[in-house]
Amino acid sequence: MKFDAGRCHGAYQKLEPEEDQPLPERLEDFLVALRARTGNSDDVVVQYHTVAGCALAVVMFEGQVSNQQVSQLLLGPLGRLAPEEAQDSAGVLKWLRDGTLLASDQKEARTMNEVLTLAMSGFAVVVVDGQKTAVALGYQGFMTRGVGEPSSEVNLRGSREGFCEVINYNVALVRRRLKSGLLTVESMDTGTVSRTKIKILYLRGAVSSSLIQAVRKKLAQVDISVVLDSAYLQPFLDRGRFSFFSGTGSTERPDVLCAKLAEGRIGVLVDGTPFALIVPFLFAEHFQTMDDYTHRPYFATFLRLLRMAAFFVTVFLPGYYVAMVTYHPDLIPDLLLSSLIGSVLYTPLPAFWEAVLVFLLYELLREAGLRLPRPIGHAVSIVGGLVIGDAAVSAGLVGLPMVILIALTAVTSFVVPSLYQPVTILRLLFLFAGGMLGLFGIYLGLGIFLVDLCSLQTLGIPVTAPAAPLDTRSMRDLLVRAGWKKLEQSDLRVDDVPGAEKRAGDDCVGGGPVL
Amino acid sequence: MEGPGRISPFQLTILLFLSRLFTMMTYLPAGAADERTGLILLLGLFFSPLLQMALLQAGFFFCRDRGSFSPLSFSQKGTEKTGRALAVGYWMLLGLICLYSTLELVRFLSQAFYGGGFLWVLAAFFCAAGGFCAHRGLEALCRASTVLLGLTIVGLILLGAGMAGTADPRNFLMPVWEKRLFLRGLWQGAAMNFELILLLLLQPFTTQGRLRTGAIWLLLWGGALLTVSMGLGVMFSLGYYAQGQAYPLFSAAQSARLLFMERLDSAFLGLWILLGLVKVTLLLWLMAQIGGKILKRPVSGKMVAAHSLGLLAAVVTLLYQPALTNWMKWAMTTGWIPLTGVLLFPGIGFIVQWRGKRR
Repeated sequence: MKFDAGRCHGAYQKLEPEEDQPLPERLEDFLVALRARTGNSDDVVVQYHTVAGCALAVVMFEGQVSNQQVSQLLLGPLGRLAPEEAQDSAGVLKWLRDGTLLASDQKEARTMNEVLTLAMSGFAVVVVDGQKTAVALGYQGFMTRGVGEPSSEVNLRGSREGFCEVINYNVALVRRRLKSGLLTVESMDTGTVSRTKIKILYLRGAVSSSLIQAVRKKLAQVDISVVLDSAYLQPFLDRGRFSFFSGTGSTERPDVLCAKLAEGRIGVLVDGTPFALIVPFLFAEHFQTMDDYTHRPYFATFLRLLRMAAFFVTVFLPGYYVAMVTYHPDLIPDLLLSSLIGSVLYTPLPAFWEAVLVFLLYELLREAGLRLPRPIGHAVSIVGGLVIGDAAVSAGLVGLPMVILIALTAVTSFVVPSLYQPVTILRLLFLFAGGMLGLFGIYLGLGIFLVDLCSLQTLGIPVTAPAAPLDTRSMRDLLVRAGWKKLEQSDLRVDDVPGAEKRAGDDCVGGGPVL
Repeated sequence: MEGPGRISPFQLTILLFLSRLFTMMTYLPAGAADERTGLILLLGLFFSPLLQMALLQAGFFFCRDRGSFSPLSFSQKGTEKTGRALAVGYWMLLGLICLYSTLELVRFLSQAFYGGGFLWVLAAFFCAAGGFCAHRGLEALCRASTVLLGLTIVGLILLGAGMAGTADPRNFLMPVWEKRLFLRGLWQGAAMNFELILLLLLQPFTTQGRLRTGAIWLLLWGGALLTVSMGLGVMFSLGYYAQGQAYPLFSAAQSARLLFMERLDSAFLGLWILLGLVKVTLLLWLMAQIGGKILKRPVSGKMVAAHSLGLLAAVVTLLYQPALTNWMKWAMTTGWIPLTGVLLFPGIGFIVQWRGKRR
């Protein structure tokens, strides 16, 4: 794992000049250059052959290609190549180019960087002596996890397919669901050293050209050495200033990405990660799941409201409780106060510190359970949750209401998993606000939180739309989920939300209706 | 100030309504009338939108030649000196309203919840929050206001339902007509409506350049109706007792009962803090904009922070001077602020511009 992605940029540049070199004509020169660029790395496989009197080299990387395919589809036919079929190096190259049966995926490389990138992507690159162009044949044979059920976005009905680590498979998963020529895929590389392949997906007719240009521009500006996950690119797509929330979403589900593309969003797939980025992503979408559209509308609405309530409970409840108990006990209803008073009076710590202690204990246990092997993780949860928690209450260190409160908060925080990170920190901040200033702090914090959230824009789209600015037409899929008959009445495009910055040339790419 | 508008007239209407609600929630005719004439004052308040609209129309008339309907656009017409002086005048007016609003909030908090212990801390946090929100900009505030309107409606319904539970029809006494009180109510409605100035100053920031007359009527009558409803609610709930209270609506919320909620003062507190934040944020933002115009500099975060710090300094100075605070309260309610901001300043601008044209 590389933790300092980007820091050694200068050092990399010394070894890997940014300016690409054209492919040397002489095979020996090419091999010298190859050895220099790869530092004589052991996993570079170079096979020398002489075919029809011509020297050639097949460049591959160990484990990247299927040896069986290379032997059967490339080396076999190459060995059987008769001199009359290819009389010189140009003839060999022509045979390779025209030999459509050699491989389904065939590319050409004219520079050293292209050769290396293709070879590292599972291509067998054939460099022929005396030629300035190499032919790359796709025999990808690396080990990969297959298409599996998405672990972070489980649903009751609908597809069980989730993205995997191989970018081409992921594109295929999307294409299989959107069999339209309007679905466009653009490729680019990112990461000066990792040269990670990324693909930008959008649906022409649904997305505005300026939005695509903005995404292209922001991705082109990424200047880190190693990109290992889509999350590396997320801050570059967000607006510059700090915020707890992001205007870029992520999904592990191809069906969710397809639905977003149809609403005029742009999807970004990154090689090596099963999480696709969605941009722009509205705050309200955190509370939507794929199941909302397979359940009956009334039930989906109920669940959606429940999720929103859970969000508010998990962020505000601990702080509110501490504020009430510490500063405003007179505001607590008498019956509830009589139940709370014992636990508050007979614990050594003030309510605020008690809450901080239990909260941190819970986060510690969660983190420990998450990083450890699963069987040990379960044991940690049992020891932490039951033994320590029960012992702390029995010993009178922590009040039972506080344990119940933090447990409730923990459960509600998992209702919207995509918001777990901001929610955890916000909860702690509201705990401090409530502990320091009472209800004044809580309400003031709520005001700041609202204004800050409402100021967030991603690529000119307000994150809080369509609630603020209000768009009554889009509200049919915000707090409530209207039935399909109502939803199908008109398309909702993210660029059409009120408050969206209209940029020059804001026409739909390709025009025409969404198919 | 005359840049292209980014907020919709709808958003501005909501924003001004919430800002006005902050004043309305504490302004009740406490101590101004006796039990039989109190309703006449409310009647005057109910009809005060007529007077407010008349004032506004006069203000609009003075600004109409300047394209954007902004009293501050005057400075760009070749009469910079007067324009700058007017901008300074508006800056001071807004500063006073901001100071008054913050003082009211902190005083209320000290009296109702926190005692007099660490008022400056409350003031410091409030000013910092206002500064932060002002730095986020008008658009963000307007968007947040849409959500806050929803919360406010829920809060007001809770308060209304709670007060309905404690309402007693015997508290209602047939009013005795008194012309002087009616006129007083009529005037007080306009005198306490600082949003008339904000309306005039913020209109150019809307996408359409100004609010429609219907929206302005809605804003004025909505406010008047709510003020009267609150007055009646408090009267039905607390009776004559309310008239001796500094914060009658808060007292009514304290005694309100709704299902398992034995008291609703926390809802009142939340509502009032959020509305206060909206108001102070809006004023700080506008002050920073005018400050930038006066100094001929683009508005920066530092400028907003300086305004926020200045507000804090003024609040802390006045917090511990009760006599000065009381005098300020009296001075702010006499009505000279809306008159100056809506009539006097635009009028001066109009005359200077008219004379400039004649030359």
